[in-house]
Amino acid sequence: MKLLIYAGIGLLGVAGIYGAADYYNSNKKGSIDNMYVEEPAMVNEKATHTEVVVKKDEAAAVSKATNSTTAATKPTVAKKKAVKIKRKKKEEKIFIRDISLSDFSRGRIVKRPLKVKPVQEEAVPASGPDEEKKED
Amino acid sequence: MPNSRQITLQHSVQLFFTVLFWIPVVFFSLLLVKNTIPYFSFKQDFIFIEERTILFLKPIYKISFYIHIAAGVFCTLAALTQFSTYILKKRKAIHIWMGKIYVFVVLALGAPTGMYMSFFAKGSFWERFLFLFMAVYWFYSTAKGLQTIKQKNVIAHKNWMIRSYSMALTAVSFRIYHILFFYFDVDHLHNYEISLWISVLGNMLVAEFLIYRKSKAYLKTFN
Repeated sequence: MKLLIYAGIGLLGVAGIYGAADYYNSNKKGSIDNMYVEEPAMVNEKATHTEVVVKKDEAAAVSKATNSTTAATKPTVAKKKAVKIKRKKKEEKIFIRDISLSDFSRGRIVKRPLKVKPVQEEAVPASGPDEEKKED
Repeated sequence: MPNSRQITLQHSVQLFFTVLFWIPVVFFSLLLVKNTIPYFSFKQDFIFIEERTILFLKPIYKISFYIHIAAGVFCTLAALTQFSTYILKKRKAIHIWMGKIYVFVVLALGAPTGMYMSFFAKGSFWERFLFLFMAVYWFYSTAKGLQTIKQKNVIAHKNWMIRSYSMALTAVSFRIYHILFFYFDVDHLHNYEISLWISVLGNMLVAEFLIYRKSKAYLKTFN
């Protein structure tokens, strides 16, 4: 029993002294200075990128919609039903906090990538000049 | 003096809380072991190792790491058998042998390697200090547990082994807090530091509370 305790104390002492010396040397060399420095988060960049995409698409949809409505008001194109393509949201970002059992470790838990829903396009028949007349 | 109904109720409540405590402890301990085993493929593509690539270039750190995690697996498995009343009463040999393994692994392998690795731990000076403290306290409480049982002082042995196990269990509780804080979107470094402090201090407090409660119940028997 005593042998084990003394051996343990010896090992603990050696580990402490060697660890301190090793840390001091490594610190002096600067080899461990930026060891745990975090890299810029990639997920945020992706998120902003998707937001930009959404904004662009919304803008395009709005411009298209305005074009189609101005065209519809012209009396020459009265017979053809104008179809206004309404895009609600091009992409929806969903952040799933997916914690798996493998995350049960001392290491960094990696954020799961943003899952993007496929493009949804809804064709809504626009109210043409004929329909407007009917309503009147 | 309580009647038989009150005693039965007390026992069932006690059993309920014992089960409530041990089910997650056993589950997460086994999960810890399961997640540690892949490290013995000696591949470098684990997030924990990738964060410490520079350190893993040092053979001494690499060896310490593998000894430390192997010791952790043995400790976790051995400790699970140590608090069972059934094993303690009916299969005492298991308790003795598992205890010997636990003590040897902590004193000769786990604590010294943990001590060396604590100097390179993630976080500020205080987190390194905390790891250092953990290594020393784990060693001291285990050595005291061994010493007291050799002196046939069973109560003191139990108390010191509860303290020792509380330090071994920081590996499990840290991971639980780490996942919880991740879920609440705390950034990684802060998450790491907070989880570390809560796991160490929380486990120590729980251990002291259990010891206090046991001692109180024991002292009552003298009245």
